[in-house]
Amino acid sequence: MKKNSEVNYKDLKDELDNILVSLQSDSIDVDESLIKYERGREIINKLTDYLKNAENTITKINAK
Amino acid sequence: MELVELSVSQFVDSINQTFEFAYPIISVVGEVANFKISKGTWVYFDLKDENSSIRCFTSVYKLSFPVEDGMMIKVIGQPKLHTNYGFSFNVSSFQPVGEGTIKKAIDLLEKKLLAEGLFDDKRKRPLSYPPKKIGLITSSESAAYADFIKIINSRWVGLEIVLYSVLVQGEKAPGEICSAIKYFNELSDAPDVLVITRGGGSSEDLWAFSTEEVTRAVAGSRVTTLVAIGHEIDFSLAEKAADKRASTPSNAAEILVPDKRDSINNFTKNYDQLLYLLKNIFIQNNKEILLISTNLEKDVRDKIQKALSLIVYQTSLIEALNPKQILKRGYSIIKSEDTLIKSATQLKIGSVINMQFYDSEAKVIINELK
Repeated sequence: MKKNSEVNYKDLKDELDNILVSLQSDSIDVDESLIKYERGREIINKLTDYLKNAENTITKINAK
Repeated sequence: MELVELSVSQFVDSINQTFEFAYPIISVVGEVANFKISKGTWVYFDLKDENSSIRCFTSVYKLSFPVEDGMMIKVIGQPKLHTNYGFSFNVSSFQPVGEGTIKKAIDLLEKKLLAEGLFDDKRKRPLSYPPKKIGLITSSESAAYADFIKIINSRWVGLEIVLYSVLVQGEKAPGEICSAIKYFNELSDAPDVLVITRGGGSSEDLWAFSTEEVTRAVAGSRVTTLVAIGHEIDFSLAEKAADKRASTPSNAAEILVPDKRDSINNFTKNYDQLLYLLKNIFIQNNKEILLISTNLEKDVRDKIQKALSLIVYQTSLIEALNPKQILKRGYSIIKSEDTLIKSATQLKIGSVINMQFYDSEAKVIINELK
């Protein structure tokens, strides 16, 4: 089981969204776009793997 | 048999001991009559049925909802024989009984809390989406718990769910629910959201979630709240006070988190989107390079053309200024010992001069000067 801390879903998802926005910018150059493309693919793989394999943890407290 | 003789006080003490032994705590159901609050603190009323009536006493702090004459209620407490005022039933908690009374109690309480602004839309806060940590307040034995966990596990991952198991109906339920809300609110690493839920039931079963103490605890929670009580048609004041209401425990799970299957599908689309955007950048870049090279080629061509035109012009100018071209027209160049002769005054009779024609030269002797 993967621990919650291994993947910060929200941060990675935000980073992916930012990459998609920056790749639509007119000012991006080819070298930078290649780096962002590769990072985007890496994030998608990480997040997909996380969603497929991670689990929830449940702890129980009884009323006193 | 010898008669026992007691003082009045001894008799009252003895009766109270007997009550305590026989009824350490007891629940009595009846209709409220002669309800009144004295000095804003002490509550007196009669609880009656067709044949009997008992005097009840409590404090306003024990009232979990507004009580009126004619309401059917269940009181929990102890019988007591007071040293001066006679018999009374000391009430420790109240619960409305029957659909009509419960509805009336909820209506009265709702009106009161509405006036205080507890249900105002401006108090509602957005829930963290998806949350990382969930404080779940329900009974671990309930179908609501099973439904919630089943749906949330099928939809999302990486969640830290802390279940605080409480009674969700009965006399102790409101207190336990409030303790759970307090517990989560006091944690240093408090959850992102509190989910308070239970499945369907009668209006009496669901009553705990419309009590004043639970409704106020929900409204006052520092942690955002999502409350789902009963089925779609069921209604509780805690739901009205919550930041968000869900119709069922399963619906609460659906509201809290996205469906991971949708997210995975979206990521597949993001792959295609990334590739499409990268291709676009390359195509755009190629177009720019092509445009630059076309412009460059035109510039070079223009410059060469200009240079060629200049050369042609300069050639024709040079040609026009070439003395040989002038000689062709019948002129000649006269020199005497390498000195260019521009005037006859430079010559003498007998001088030998050199005449250069366009195609040949001749030596000439001067015979006459004019």
